[in-house]
Amino acid sequence: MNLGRRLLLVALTLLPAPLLAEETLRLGVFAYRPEAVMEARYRPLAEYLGERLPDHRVALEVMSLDEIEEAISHRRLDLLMTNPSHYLEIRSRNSLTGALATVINAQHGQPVSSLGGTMIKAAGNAAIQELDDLAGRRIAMPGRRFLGGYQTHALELMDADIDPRRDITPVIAGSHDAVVAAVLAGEAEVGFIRTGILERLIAEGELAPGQLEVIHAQQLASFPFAVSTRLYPEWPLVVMPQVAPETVRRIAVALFTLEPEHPAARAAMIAGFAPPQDYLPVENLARRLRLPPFEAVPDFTWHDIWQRYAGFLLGLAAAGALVAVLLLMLARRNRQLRQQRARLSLLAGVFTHSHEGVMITSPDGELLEVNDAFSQITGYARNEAVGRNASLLGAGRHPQAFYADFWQQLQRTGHWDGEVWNRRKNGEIYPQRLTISAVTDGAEEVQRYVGLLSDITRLKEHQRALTHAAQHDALTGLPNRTLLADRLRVAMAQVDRGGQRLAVVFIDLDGFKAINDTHGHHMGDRLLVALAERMQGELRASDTLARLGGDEFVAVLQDLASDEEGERVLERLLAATAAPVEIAGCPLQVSASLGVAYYDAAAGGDEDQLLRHADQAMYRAKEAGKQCYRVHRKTQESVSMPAAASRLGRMGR
Amino acid sequence: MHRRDLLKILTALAAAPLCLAGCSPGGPLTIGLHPWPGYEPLYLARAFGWLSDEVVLREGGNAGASLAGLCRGELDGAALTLDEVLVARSEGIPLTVVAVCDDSVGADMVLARPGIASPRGLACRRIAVERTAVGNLVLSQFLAAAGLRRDDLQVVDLAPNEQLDAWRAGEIEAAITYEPTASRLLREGAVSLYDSSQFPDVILDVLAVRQDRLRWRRGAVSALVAGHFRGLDHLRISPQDAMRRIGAWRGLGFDEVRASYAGLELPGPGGNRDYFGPQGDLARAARLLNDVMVANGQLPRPDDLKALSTPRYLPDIGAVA
Repeated sequence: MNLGRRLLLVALTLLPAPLLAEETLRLGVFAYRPEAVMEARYRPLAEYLGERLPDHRVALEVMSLDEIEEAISHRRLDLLMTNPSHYLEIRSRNSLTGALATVINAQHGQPVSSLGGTMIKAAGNAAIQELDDLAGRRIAMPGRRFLGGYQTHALELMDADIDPRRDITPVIAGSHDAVVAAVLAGEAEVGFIRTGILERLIAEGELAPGQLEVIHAQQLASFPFAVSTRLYPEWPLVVMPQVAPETVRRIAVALFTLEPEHPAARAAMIAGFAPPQDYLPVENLARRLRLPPFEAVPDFTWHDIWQRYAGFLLGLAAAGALVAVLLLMLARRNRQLRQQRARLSLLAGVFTHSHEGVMITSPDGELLEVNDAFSQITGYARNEAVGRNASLLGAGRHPQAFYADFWQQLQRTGHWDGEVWNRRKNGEIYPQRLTISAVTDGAEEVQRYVGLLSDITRLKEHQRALTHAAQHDALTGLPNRTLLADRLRVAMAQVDRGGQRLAVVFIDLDGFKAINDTHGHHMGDRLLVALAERMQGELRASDTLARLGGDEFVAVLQDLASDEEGERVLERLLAATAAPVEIAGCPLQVSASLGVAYYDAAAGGDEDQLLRHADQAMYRAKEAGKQCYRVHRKTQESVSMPAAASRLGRMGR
Repeated sequence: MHRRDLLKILTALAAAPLCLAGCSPGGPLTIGLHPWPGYEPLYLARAFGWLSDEVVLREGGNAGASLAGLCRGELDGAALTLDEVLVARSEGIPLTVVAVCDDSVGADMVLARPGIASPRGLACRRIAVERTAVGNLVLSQFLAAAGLRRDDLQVVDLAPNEQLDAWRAGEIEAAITYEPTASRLLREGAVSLYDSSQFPDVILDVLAVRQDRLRWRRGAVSALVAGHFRGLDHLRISPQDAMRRIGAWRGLGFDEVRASYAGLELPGPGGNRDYFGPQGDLARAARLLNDVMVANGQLPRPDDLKALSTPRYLPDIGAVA
């Protein structure tokens, strides 16, 4: 190596030295105690660092929290010592290189790198014994941004269910010394200070031992200070990002090699610096207290809710599901009920509005329910009928055997129907159609009888009308051939049993066809009716007048005492038919030819034969000039048989 | 009327789950506990009020007290070593492991008076051994490693909480012990000859509960396990605070407490899961214990290992920060 190059090297190494010596590193320290105290404590440390860093000078600046933030944002600080929660707050807003070291505190030679809070009260204040007694008290604190002076205390209060924002009355003193003064002066009942202050004040002679007492004292091993809260890492020493890495390394070396006996450490009352602790506990504290940077309400996700309230939510869901299922069941049941009600009302409508009477009875016949038609038919209102026995309806017209049969069939087949005579409430007896059915349960035991009853009085009348119509002539109302044959048979039987004479008179009107032709069938029919009435009027009650059809009538004369009596009747009939009849203002006149046959019981013969004989006799009367009568004689029977046979053929049934 | 009654019953039924979420009709879960670094998280949880009201901790002097409590039926579960769980099971107490508190990786030690430099120096000396499986297990492992026989030593039956007085009285020259006695003996000048780091994953301290007492109390078991992990979390994140509290309870300094955890692995919820399952360390340790304990006559017959453990009460990973 030649001399020239060696000189150049020397010159290069010497050249920057005066320039670098001008550089100043500014160390900011948070003034948690009065500024003068802080200045006195930390100036030796700043000087120590300046000594250990070649070409650097370290300037100490004791600042409030706000001043620190202001200085950092303007890059006016290079090194910082502040409380851990403030450090986290700054870190969240500025890019820091992170904590370089954690302060090791010292007390009576015992190193501690943790801090906590001390709750103090005036000695002898018996009203405050434990945490719970702090609610509602006036509490002095240096400020809410002090970790050891408020935040550590606040967490303990929260754990004791005291809201540190609402449940206490804060007295903001500004510094720990002022808090102690406030408690001593009685301005506050309780004071919140950080650990070490109490012991330091006593050491400095500012406070006599026993003047203050500690609340909620914690039992901790190897911790030289009275403490009321859990512990957190001590203050960090933070390096700002603008400091050169080489300088940072040298600062670290200087910090970690600072011995407790060094004057700088003694002045600062520390035992040196340790590698940075984990500040997670402080972060967790800030989260719990919602301190910056965690003042925002954290996102509360469904997962969080589930984590916390899983049991409750499950219960709620189960309850909800149960209610839903019940509602569903209720809705279904309601629908069924609605359908059943509709069906019932339909059935009830049939029951109520039926024209058939309906009665429901117990197995022993007690009336349980009846409908309106029942009341109309029987005359018994519902309230009169229900509770009474169905036998109240009976008319007593049927023999005991009828009822015995009735019960027997009902019990055997569960059913009975038929016609019975019953008595209405007003005493009227009427025919009734009755259908009774047994209602049984699952075990075939009879539970009820249901009876359907209808009044068949009118039906009976109708039947009678039909029977009457079948046996009488529609125009004159006189018996027709059928009834005539019946009556004749009866009369003949009476004669056979020893009765008196019986005559059959065949009546045929003379000149009736001319009336029909001249005046019309209408007038003819009215004439027939009038003549029928007249002839009926000439007969006795025991006699029968029948119309065979057209202008032919037959009279059956019973109980004739003699032939003369018969002849008198015949004369009356001739006169009655021959008399003029005025119909609709028109005088009409016909006559009649009569043929008479007497029944001879000894000779026998049937009613057809007797009529035939009368018919033959009538023909003879016609031949004799009409408007007269002829009596049948036995010898004449064979005469004009063909005509008679043809007439009687019409009478055949 | 009928419908109204039905509605009342149904309303009560509907409200029942809400009640179940908040109460356990079976009464609180009583757990036997004794001082041991691995169990300190539960003590921490109790001190900070993190244990649910459904869990009651019954504190005893040593594991024997917990076992006796289980036998008398006073306890629903206990913090025990795995071998103690096997002993209890052999006596008909249907314990099942719900969490692993710690794994001894050096916490169980053989301590001797200063001057006794090697295991062979213990020959014919009095050594305090707790008559438990762990004591025997450590002794047998120690003897095997040192090439000694049981007869070479004078074995004195002394539980760790009695060993300090015996040590001070000069009644013993060595002890098979664990924390917190180990730290106290070390403070008295004892030196360590051997420890469980030579045979890890065998001495496990666990939380075990009686399966037959779990009706309506599964929430309480989960609360117990969650309390343990919350305490463990505090111990991990704030050791400066937690260990000072433990130190105050046990009469130890902060550094001694910290030292007592040097030989212990305390698995969190995530690490715990690795111990469970048929191939987990629990089953493996139990099989090894079966062999050692049957050979030593501490178990009449090997445990069938059925329902020995369940991970169902462990919190979800991520739920505990």
